[in-house]
Amino acid sequence: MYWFVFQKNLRFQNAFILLASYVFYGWWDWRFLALIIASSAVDYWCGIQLGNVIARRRNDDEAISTREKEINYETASAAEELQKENSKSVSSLSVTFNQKFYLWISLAFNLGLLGFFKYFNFFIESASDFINLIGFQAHPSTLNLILPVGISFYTFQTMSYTIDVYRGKMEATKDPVTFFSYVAFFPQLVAGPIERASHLLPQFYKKREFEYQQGSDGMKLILWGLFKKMVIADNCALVVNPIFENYQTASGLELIMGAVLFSFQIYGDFSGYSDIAIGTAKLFGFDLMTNFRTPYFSRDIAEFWRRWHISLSSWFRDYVYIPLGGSRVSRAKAIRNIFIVFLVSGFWHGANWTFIAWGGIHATLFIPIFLIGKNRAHLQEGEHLLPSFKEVFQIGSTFALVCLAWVFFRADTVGDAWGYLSNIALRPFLEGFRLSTYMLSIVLIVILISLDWLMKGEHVFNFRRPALRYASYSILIGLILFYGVFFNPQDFIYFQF
Amino acid sequence: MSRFLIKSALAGFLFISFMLCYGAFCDYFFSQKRYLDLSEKKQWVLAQEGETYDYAVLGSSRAYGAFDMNLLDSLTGMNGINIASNGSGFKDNYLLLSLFLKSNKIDKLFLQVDMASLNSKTSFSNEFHAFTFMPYWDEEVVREVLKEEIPFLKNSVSSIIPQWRFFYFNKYFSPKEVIRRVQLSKIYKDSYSQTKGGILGQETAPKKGEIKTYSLPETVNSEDWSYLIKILTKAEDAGIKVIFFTAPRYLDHQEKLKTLLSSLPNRKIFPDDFNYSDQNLFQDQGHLSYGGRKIFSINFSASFNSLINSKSL
Repeated sequence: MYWFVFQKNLRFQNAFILLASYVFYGWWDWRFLALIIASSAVDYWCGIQLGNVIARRRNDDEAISTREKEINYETASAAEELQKENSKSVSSLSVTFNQKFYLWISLAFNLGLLGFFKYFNFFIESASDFINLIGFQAHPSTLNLILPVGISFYTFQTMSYTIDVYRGKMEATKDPVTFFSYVAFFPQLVAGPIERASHLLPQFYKKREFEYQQGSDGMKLILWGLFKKMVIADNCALVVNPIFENYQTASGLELIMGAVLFSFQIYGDFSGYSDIAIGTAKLFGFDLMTNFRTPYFSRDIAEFWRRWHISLSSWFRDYVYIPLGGSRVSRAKAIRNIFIVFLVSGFWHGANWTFIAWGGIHATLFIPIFLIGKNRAHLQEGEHLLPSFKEVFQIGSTFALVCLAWVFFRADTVGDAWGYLSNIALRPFLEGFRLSTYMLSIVLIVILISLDWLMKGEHVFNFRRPALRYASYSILIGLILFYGVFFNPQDFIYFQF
Repeated sequence: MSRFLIKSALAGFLFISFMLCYGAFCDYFFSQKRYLDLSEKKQWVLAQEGETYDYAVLGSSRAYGAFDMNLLDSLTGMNGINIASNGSGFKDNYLLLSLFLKSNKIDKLFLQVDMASLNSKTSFSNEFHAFTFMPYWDEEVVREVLKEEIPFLKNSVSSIIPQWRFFYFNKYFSPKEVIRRVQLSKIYKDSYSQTKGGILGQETAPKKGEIKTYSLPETVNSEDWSYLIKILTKAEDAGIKVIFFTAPRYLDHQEKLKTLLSSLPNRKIFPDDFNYSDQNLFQDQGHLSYGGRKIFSINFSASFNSLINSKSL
């Protein structure tokens, strides 16, 4: 339909995407379609209003500068000049106020949605805990709220549009179908990548023609994503879940294995979904941003954050960290900014102290690197086929720290996370440990790491020899069919965010 | 575009062909009696062929471990088989009995009923072992149940290729499993034959320390009840007399269950002289130790013999 029936009409193609996106989302729960539509409508309207205000201001600025030039040549009374000066300053003030007003409407609406559906109960319960802690009695009443799938993703995506229009980085769109399609674009609607309007929206305006290479890359990415999700993540989950559920009785080595395997579970799960989303978008002629670049080969935490969930970390960098002053402020303020970004980033994941602790740990790990000025030390990929001993050590130690932080991310409470980590040292190290339980996951992870390393910085399956390419497709399909988890599969972890 | 479509169609064709071929192979291989894993109880039951028994015991692990089958045979003067297996609810029991009756005959069925099997969703970690019956797709009774159970078979599009089911449960039908079964077939080991399907004595020592008690569900799941009725109908059609029983539970006389079963016309055997508070007779609350099994077999045979003598059967 998309390529054969609607190819000649861009508007039809966009409308088709919009319809498909709403059907896709409504399949989960049609009632929550209203939220996406409302969020899109508010930002569409705010964008238009911001566009008008900015256009008016430009016109005013141009008129004023022309008038100023005229004043220099004409003879005018001092009173008239004074009057004009006054009116100019009044006009600038009202324009700035209007701009902020529409931006605030957008932010308030989207953050309000997020706050209500995702954080309402958390705030009520935390406030009640605090009141009880200081000796008063509180009986909080929470609401039985369903968290709409993907709400954190699409609200951030739509806010990025309003902010960019506000900043004058892009023009407001007047085509509602295109804008609504951009917000609800189904491949990345429920778990990202969180696209920027300046990157994705122009693609909706461009005539799309099917390109073989793009389609082929899309299929490869989908296959690679399915492997990561169904084979790596879901098999790891089968081992990880019982360990986290019974961490009080697990041995030290089992707990270490649980943390390591969870690291690969969440990587396979989330990057797998991103690959499927990017691949699917390619089949529709869209290029989405890269969300993961082999994060576990990072040589320090700063590099890890340039490679993990790139669309979110760059969102926070551009819309939170830099507006706060980024690193171009005093040391103390820069440290404050880093903490804010990491804590907010953690909190974005879920209404639980565990996520805030996870963000806090990453901030704590990042700040020393920042203070010694090494946070941009590893901007380039290692060029050698095999890493040096130094790189192996750096990669290993970074991975160990990331694993430690993942325990907080995975645990139900901060207390459980502490318990889990302390039991690594306190519980007997080898009691009840059976290597065979982990063997399948370990072998599959070795395959993943090897392929990830070989394809570092390249497109997936970019082997020159066709025989090698087709062999790798076949092996991957075989692994999915025979080792993929079809029975009782796990939901994508990031759907809950 | 056409190049992409041709390549995609070719890939799809190869993919489906592979599934069909592997599925056909699984259909053949895993239904072969010589490749059944006889150390797994359900598969051992399915391997039985051309036998005639006076009675069969059917139910969950509680029934599997309730009798010393050789002792029960000698006390009742009958030839029986225990086809009960671990974690089996009535859906499992229904299919297992149906397949068993295809190539074997029985006269009486001792059907174990308890509140756990009447509410299998909350009681068993795996309420239905669909994968056990995968290779018997040709049997209508199996097809009917599996179609309702497996998402790929429920869906109208993917149900066109029922071979999907082997990949859905790939853990049990992988090439690795094929190799294992071939190796197993070379070392034929049938430990169940000596116990007539019963549990081996040394596996069930009495519980040391205090036995943890837990309560069973109080409600009946309508689906489980419907499969219980299906078992009764199946047995009736085959001219089999069904006798209900329930294996003893530590400190629990299961009165609610007995009241519930009173609505059914079938005979029931609930031996009253079993000591439900003797911890030595149990390995946990729901399962008998080897001592408990012997005593229960004696009590059960006495009740059964009096049933025979009263000509109620």
